[in-house]
Amino acid sequence: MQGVLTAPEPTAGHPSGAACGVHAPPDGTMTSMTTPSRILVVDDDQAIAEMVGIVLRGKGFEVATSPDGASALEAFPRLRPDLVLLDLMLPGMDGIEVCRRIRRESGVPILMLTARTDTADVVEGLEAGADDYLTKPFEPEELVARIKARVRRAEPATTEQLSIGDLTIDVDGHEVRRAGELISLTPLEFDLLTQLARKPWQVFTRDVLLRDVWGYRHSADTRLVNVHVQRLRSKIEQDPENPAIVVTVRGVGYRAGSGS
Amino acid sequence: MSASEAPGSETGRTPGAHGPASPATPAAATPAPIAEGPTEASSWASAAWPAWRARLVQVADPRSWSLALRVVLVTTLLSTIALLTVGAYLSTVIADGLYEQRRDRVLEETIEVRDDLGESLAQLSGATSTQQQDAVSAFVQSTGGQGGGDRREVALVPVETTGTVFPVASSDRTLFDEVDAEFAAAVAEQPDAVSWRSIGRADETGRTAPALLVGTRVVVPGSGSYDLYLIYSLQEEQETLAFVQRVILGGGLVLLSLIVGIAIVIARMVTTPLKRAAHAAERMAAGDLASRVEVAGADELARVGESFNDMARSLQQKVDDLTELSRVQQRFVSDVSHELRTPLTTIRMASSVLDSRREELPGELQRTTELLAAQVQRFEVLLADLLEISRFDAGAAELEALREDMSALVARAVEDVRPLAGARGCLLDVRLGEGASTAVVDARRVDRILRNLLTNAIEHGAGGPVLVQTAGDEDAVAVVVQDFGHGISPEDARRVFDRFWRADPSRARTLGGTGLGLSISVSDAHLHGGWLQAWGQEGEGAVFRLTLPRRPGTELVRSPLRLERPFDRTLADASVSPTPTGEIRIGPDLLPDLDPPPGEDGESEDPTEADLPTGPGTATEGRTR
Repeated sequence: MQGVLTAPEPTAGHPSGAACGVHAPPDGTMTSMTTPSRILVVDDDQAIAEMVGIVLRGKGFEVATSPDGASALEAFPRLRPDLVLLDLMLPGMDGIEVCRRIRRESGVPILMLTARTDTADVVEGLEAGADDYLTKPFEPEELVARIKARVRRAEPATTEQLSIGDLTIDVDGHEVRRAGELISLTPLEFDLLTQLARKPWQVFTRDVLLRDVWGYRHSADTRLVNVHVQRLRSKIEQDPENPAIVVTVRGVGYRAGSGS
Repeated sequence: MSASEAPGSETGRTPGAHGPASPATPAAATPAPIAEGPTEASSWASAAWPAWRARLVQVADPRSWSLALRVVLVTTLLSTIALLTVGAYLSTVIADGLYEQRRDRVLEETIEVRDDLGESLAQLSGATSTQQQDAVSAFVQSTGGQGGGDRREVALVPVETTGTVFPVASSDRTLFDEVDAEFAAAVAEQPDAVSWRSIGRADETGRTAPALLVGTRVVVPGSGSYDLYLIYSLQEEQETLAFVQRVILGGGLVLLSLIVGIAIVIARMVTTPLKRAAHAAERMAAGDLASRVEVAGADELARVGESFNDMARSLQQKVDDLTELSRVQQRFVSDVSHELRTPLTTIRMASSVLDSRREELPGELQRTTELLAAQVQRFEVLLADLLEISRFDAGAAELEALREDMSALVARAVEDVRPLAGARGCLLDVRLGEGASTAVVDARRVDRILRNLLTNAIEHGAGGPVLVQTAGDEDAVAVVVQDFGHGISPEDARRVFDRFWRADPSRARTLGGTGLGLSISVSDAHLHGGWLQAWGQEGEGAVFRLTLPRRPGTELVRSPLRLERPFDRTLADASVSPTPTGEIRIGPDLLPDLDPPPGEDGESEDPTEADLPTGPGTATEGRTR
C-alpha cells in the first residue's frame, strides 16, 4: 500500500495541503457558513485532545476541550457546541453517561471516540444517543469527514412537506408532527426519517443509509443503522414492537411503512 | 491454534497430469483427506459393512458387557452347576438307599417265602399229586400279589424231581419272560443262596417300571428241587424317588432364583457407585468441571467416589488457575493493545499533519515524515492484528453472519487489491463459478480472509498471474487463490498459518505484512466452521483454498474446489471463462509484454523488480477497468 501512496511523482496539488498553511477556512463547504462550527472535544488524554484541536482548527472549526465528563456537562450549555466529540473512557463519569445526559437536553450530534470495538461498548454508546463512532486510531481526514457529515449542512431553503405514515415532516423547519403534536428528534434521526420519507416506494439497504445519512463512502458498521432505527422507532412509532412507519424488509433493509 | 490443527494440507494426491514435481509427500497425521469425486461415496458404502460387523463382534464379546450383567451371568452359571451337582448327588444317594433298603427286605422276604414253601411242600410229601398240585397253586396264588404292600409275582419251576412231579406254577405267566438261561444258571449254581437282579418291567400302560427279580432253589426232601422265582415291583420306591427328585429340583430352582436375585442386588450395589463415578467422569470430560459423585459411607466404593471427587476438585482448581492465567494474559494483550491506541492516534494524527505539509519541509525531513507515516501505519496494522488475535484467543470473537453474495464479496476484494496488483504487474484472473452465489457468512471476516489471500498471492506471486476461482455446491462455497510464484513446499503449507511464520526468513517482507494475516484468516474460517487450507510446490506456486459451509455450523465434508492442482501457467492463463461481473478480461495474448513467457517466470524472482510500479502494470490497471 505504502508503495502506491508514496509514488514519487511530485504532485503539488495535495487537496488540503495547500490550504493548511493559511488559517482561513479551507474547505468549500465551510465557507458558506457565517460562523465556524464549534466542536466540544471531551477526552482525558491531553495530547490527543490537543492534536485533535490542531487538526480541527486547521480545518476551520472552533474547538473547545474538556478533560472529563463533569466539566464537559458544565461547559455544554455555555458553549452550545455544534458537535460533541466524546471519548468513551473518561475518568469519573464515563462517556456513555455523559452522552446520555447531553442527549437528555439536546439533540446535538455526538461523535464518540473509542479504543474498544467490542460489540457491547459500541452498541451501548449508540444506544446512549451517540450518532456515530470512530475507532482509535483514526486518520485526521476520517475524523474531519465524520464531523462534516454530522454538522448541520447548509441546505437550500425549501418549503418541502413530507408525510410518512401518519406523520408530517416540515423539512425546512426540522419538525415532525403527529396530528399537530410535535415529536422531538435529533438531527440524525430527522435525516434518517426524511431519507425514508422522500422515497416511500424504495427499500433502503443499510449500506445505502450509511452512505446517504452518515456520509460513509465505504461500507461501515451496519449496527449504526440498526441502533438508530430502534431509537427512531421508539420515538415515532405508536407501538415500537410492531413498527408501522419504519418497516424492516427482512434481509434487505428498511422502507417507509403505510403507518396504519 | 496451530496450523497442524487446521485441516490444511490434505494428504491425498492429485491424479493430475503434472507428474514430475514432488514425490508424494503426504503431510502426515492430518485428519482424513477430503476425497474428491465419486471415490468418496463408494468408500463410504464399503465402510458401512465392516462397521456393522465390528459392532456385532463387539456385542458378542463378553468383555464389552456391563459388569453387573457379567456378575449375574457368572453367578447364575456357577450356581446352576453347583446345584445340579448337589442335586444329582442327593438323588443318587437317595436312590441307592431306597434300592438297597428294598432289596434287603426283598431278600429277607424271599428267604421267608422259601422256608414257607419248603415247609408246605414237605407236608405234602404224602399227598396225592392233585392235592399237591392244588396246594402249590394255592401257595403260589397266596404268595403272589402281596408282600410289604407291593405287588409281587411268584413262579415255581420244578428242576429235578425224584417223586411226584409238581407242574410249573406261577401267579403271572409273564414272569418267565424275565427269567433267562443265565439267571436260571446262576440260581442253579448257588442253590442255597438267593440270586437277584434288577430288571425293568413293562406295566399295563406300557411304561417300564423297575423291578427286582429274585431266584432261589427250594429243595424238598423226597420230592426234588424247585426253582422259586419272585419279582418284586419297585414302583413305589421309584415314585418316592421321583418325588424326592422333584422336591430337589424345585428347591434347587427356588435357591437358584434367590441366588440370581442376590447376585443382581450385589452387582448393583457395586456397580451403581461405579456407574455414578463413570457418569460424573463423562460429564467432566464433556466440560462440566463441577461434576461430582455422591458419596455415602466409608467403604471401598465410597473411597472410589471420594478419590474421584478429590481428583475432580484438584483438576477444576488447576483448570481454573490456568484459565485465570490465560485470561489475565489475554486481558493483558488486549489492554496493551488498547492502551497503545490512544497515543498511537495522537502519533498518527501528528504524522498525518506533518505528511500533509511535507512540501514545506527540507528534503531530508520530507523523507523522514514519509517513513514516519508509513511505519505508524504499519504499527497500527500490527496492533489491530494483535488485538484480533487476542480476541480469538480469548474466544471473544463473534460471528455476525448474514446472507451474502459470495461472488460479490470476491469481486469486491479483487477490486480492492487491483491497484496493488497493478503496481506489481500482476494479472488477476477471476473465474466466478456459477454455484457460488449465496452463503450465510460474516462479510467482514470473509473480506479480510480474501484480502489476506490476495495480498499474499500478489506479494509472493513474483509478478505472475493470480488465479481466483470460486465454486459452490449444495453445502459449501469455496474460493481458491492460486499464484505461480516462489511457491511453498507441501511441508511448509502446514506452517503458513503459524503466527509470524516466514517461508524464507531471508526474504524481505515487501508489503509490510504483519505475519499475522494468515493466522487470523484461518481463525476467521474456523469461526464459520470452514476450512482454510494451503498447498504448494516449491518454485511453482502456492494454492490457498477457503471453504465455507453455506450455513455456519454445518459440518463440512468436502470442498467444491480442488486444492492440489497443477501449476500450469498456460492452463491458468488461457482458459478464460465468461465472467458474470462483466469484467473485461485481460489475457496474456492481449498484453504480451506484461508477463514473461511461461518458461522464464521460474527464474525471474528478483523481488526488487517486482516492487517497482512498472509501466505495464499501470497499463493493466487502465485496461482492466
